[in-house]
Amino acid sequence: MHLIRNLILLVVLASVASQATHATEINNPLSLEEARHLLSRTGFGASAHELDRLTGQPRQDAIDRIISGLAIAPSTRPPSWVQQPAPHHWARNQLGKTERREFIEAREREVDELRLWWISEMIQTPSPQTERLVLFWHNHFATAISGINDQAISIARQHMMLRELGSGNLRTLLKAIIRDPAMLNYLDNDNSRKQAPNENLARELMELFTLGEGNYTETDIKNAARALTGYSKAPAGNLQFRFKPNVHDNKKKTIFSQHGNFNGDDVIDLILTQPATAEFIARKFWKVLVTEQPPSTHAIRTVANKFRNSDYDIKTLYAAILQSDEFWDPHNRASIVKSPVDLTVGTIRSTGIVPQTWQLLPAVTDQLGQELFDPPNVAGWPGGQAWVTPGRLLNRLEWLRSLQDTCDGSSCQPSMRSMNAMSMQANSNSNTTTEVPATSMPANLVLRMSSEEFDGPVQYKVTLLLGDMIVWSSGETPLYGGFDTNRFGRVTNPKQLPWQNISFSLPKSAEKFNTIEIEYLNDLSKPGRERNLYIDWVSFKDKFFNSDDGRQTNHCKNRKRSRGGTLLCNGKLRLTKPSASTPATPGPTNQNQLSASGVYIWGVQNTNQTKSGKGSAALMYTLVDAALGDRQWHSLTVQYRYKKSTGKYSLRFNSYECWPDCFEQWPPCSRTSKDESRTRSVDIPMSPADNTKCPLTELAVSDQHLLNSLWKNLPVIYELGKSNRKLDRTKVKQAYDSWSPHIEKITRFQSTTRDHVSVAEFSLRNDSSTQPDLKNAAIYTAPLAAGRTAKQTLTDQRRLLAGNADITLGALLLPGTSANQQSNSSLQDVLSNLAFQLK
Amino acid sequence: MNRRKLLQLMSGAALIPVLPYSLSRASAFNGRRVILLELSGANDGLNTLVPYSDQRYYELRPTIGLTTNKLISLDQEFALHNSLQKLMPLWEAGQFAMVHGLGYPSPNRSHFKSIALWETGGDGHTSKRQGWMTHDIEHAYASNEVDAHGIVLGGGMGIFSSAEGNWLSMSSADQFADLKTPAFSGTPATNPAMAMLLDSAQVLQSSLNRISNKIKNNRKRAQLRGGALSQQMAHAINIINSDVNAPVIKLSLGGFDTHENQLGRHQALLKHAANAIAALHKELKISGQWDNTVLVTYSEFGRRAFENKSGGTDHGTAAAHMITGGGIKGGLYGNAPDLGALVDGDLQHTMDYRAVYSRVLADWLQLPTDSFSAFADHRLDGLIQESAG
Repeated sequence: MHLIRNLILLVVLASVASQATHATEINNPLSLEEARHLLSRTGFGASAHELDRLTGQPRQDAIDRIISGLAIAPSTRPPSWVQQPAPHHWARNQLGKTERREFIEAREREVDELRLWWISEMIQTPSPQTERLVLFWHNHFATAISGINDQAISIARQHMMLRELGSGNLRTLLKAIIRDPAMLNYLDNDNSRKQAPNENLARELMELFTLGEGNYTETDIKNAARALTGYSKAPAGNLQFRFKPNVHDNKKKTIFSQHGNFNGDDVIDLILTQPATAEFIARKFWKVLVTEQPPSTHAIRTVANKFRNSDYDIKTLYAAILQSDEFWDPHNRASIVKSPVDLTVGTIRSTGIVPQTWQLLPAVTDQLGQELFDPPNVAGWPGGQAWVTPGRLLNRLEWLRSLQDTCDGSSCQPSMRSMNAMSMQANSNSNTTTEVPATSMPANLVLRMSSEEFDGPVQYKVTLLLGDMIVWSSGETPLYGGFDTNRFGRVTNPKQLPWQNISFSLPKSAEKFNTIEIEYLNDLSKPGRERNLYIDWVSFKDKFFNSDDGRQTNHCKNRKRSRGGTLLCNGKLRLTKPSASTPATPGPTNQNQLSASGVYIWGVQNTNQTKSGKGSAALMYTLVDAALGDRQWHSLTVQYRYKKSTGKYSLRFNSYECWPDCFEQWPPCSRTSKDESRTRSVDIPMSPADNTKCPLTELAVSDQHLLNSLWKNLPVIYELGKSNRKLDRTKVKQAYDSWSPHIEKITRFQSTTRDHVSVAEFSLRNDSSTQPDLKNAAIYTAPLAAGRTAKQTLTDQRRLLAGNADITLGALLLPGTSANQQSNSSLQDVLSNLAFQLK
Repeated sequence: MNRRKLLQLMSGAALIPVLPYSLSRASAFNGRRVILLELSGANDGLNTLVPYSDQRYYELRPTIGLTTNKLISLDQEFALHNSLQKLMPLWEAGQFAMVHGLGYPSPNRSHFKSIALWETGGDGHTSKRQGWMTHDIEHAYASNEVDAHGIVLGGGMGIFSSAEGNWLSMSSADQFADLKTPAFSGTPATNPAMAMLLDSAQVLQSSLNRISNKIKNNRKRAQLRGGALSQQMAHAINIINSDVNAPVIKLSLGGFDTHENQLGRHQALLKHAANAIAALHKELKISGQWDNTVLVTYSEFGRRAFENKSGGTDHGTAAAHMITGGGIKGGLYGNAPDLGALVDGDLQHTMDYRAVYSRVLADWLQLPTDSFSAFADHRLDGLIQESAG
């Protein structure tokens, strides 16, 4: 007994002792190097301002500061289209060839804008930890835009969701992920039915998102896949999550030897009963925060247990890792390869140098192997060694070297100069600084342009005219940041062109113009010396000019015609015709006017179906951007139904096929699904003297008006549908044609029916737009590195120097270096030091 | 043992670096190389190697079908587009081959997706991520056995996508002479990440040094006139004639997406390609490198069998491709797709394109492994001559 008690005592004493050392360390003031370590692992690089604030703080306070700084909202405004309803992706096959191309291009522009906005946000935000965490989840729940039919809106919404939930509770996050339309699309769950469950999401959920290989069986996956059937999205319902009760498998399942009629949420709850989940997530955090070397089981268990005991609070896990001895162990410094985003954004934040060509940063990270929103597959970016193969290392070093060259502008000069000056310990009397203008949104003329360059950049001139009168001219202007054809040859894939938004602030006197001319001035005529100018679009206020619509004249010798906006020789692009840049927003229309910007065929069922008994057919349309009086719909889907056995007609509506909703008020006689999405459906009889339940009179007067109008206008809508591309398919055409006699019949008895409520006439408006709304100023103004102006950065650097007398540039920027280890060297020397590739 | 000490020991043990570039499998470079020429935008195989004796060809292509005055007949059934005239000496020398009907199951008609499949060796059912030859070449040659595993002189880098190996992108040979990597001295390898990085940097540095020295020492520079591909080809010739050891060089010629007014454009493109290939032949013959070199063309897909209403062709599936070199036995290989058995207006591929990959890896480059051996096709027997090289 004594022996045992002594042993216990020993153990207790030992643990008290270790806690004691832990407690003192946690109160140690942070050295500069420790502050840099904490910042560069939790955020991107370490700015002078951040270093100054953390150095000397007790460790625990610094950790608290990092954790409490995690935000759920970005510091700058995301692109405006992110808040708008989803474009009509499901109908894009019904568009004409040109419209379809424009539709896809618009979506690509949106993703480009989202990427640029996010990188700007990372550069500028006061909480880089927030962005680092969002990037962590983007890599963890990897979803690629190229795998979801260019649905930019879904990828943007997923991004916002990861922001909102990424620092909260893992259970909530996982339950949102299995309802995330981008993920459901990417991993093919949106079409998973109980008759044929798709295992993709279930498998990745267990293998990559929670448990890790070896901690589940094939049976678990099969059953989880069944539980996830019916988790889908509503194409005409703003691409929101939709649970489809009809295809959800409601039978008993067995997961981790538990039996029950599980649904998706149950799968998540079951996964979280497995200790492997906390460990798997902890390991992944460990890998990006502490070291890429595998941690000891003990270390991982310690933080994983804290994570589980907090019921999966992500901040608890995060704090536990930051509090671990291993995080602070100097052996673990300089042990993680910086990702391309880390390298670019981190360098900009650390040095205060924002390159003039900052808009090309998304292209730079892509070239270095990390294209945001398009990871190579669901496992995310491989990282580590893959970031620094010899070929990529060369590109990384070249980018770092170019950082100073591309930085002639006043925006970065002062801080760069000061950094170099600092290394020579001659920092007392630096030049006066020009302050970067604060983010503002004047009436800017914005041109989306790109170029190929050879021995120097493209020179161009923008001129605004009112009639023949010149109201403004930019003068000869260089376009920096073109694709270097001297080095890399021609661009073979137009996607590789480095597009930038070039913005000119116009004087008031120049705001009235009707023609924009862009002239390319310095072509190289010799073959093999390619210098070319590309123009994508121009925007001013709410006007959007697509270069395709422009008139182009050039002085090419062979008189080669090129597409509008592609200037391969000196010449001019003239833009006069703006296209609408905002989605159709019809003003209040006449009460007797039902209108839409498009009528798409949602589906057709043949009336000649010979199936006995259950012979019903349907003609389904979606009216997009519909308006009736002062009511508006993003999409309004109506089914004209015919029941063969009774010969009667009805109108059916499903709430998930309308956005924001079909009716002002759903009638009490409508059906509500019992599942979580509580969708509503109703059939309203329209044949004369049909007194089955749910008659028209149960609806609100305004909804009766809508139904009568839809009913009355069926012949018009039917005619419109005949030119639909969907009818190119023989089978659909036959089904559509089978409705012809019914349309005639309906027209006949309509003329004899008395109208109880006034009926609106239908018209097709011509204001549909596929262009994205690109009025967001955030992406046209260079971000401030770490949110500090050049002047502030200088002050920050001076303050930091004042507190650390013998500091060197190397000590500021290189990991694993303390102040006295690194001799003085130039910024370029430090950036080209291999240790700078690591953090 | 206390926890801290344990951790120190553990990290000490972990200091053994991951497989370094320079110490992986080693065998001497056998001097054989392949030049991959990407015909970007999708070359119209049917108007490159034309089944001129098949009336259905002219029915499918009433306006852009090539009549005999625009053709060079190879045999009773097939003829080359006459803008490939410059390749005829190679044909007559028995060193120019074409393989009919290359494609893959479940074709994808997106430019970007399909070229990614060709560059990684995938098909409509399985996509891959690594460049199709990267694994086998890296396995055969350690980084210090070659100056680079591969060099891209034009177009995308996707074909060399790999987490390992020394695959460089450079569009001008002269650039190698100028590029200087910073000296990496004084950076000790204190952990595995640093060790790996140092290793990669040393490979890069010695690679650039070797290549730039070799190029500097080569006084005789080829100069080719013409457009983008001629430039690339001149660089390729200079790299080869400087004795730079790189098993693969990739070039690219764009503009083949001929939806409209195809005739003139396609003719100019093929002429450009033929001029560049003929120049390669001429220059490497002089330097004695021709017998060590094979050029293979590839493209994302072929074009639709029937012409469209704009005098062009839309995205299709199968296409014939060219293979030439000192070690190639010329002729036509495989079977032409049946113009009477179109599916949705598209040619059905008659040979998996990876059959060619297998020959290149196993028979031509003679690598110890061939990732595409499962696709080997006996109809390509004899394409690579035993005695070559």
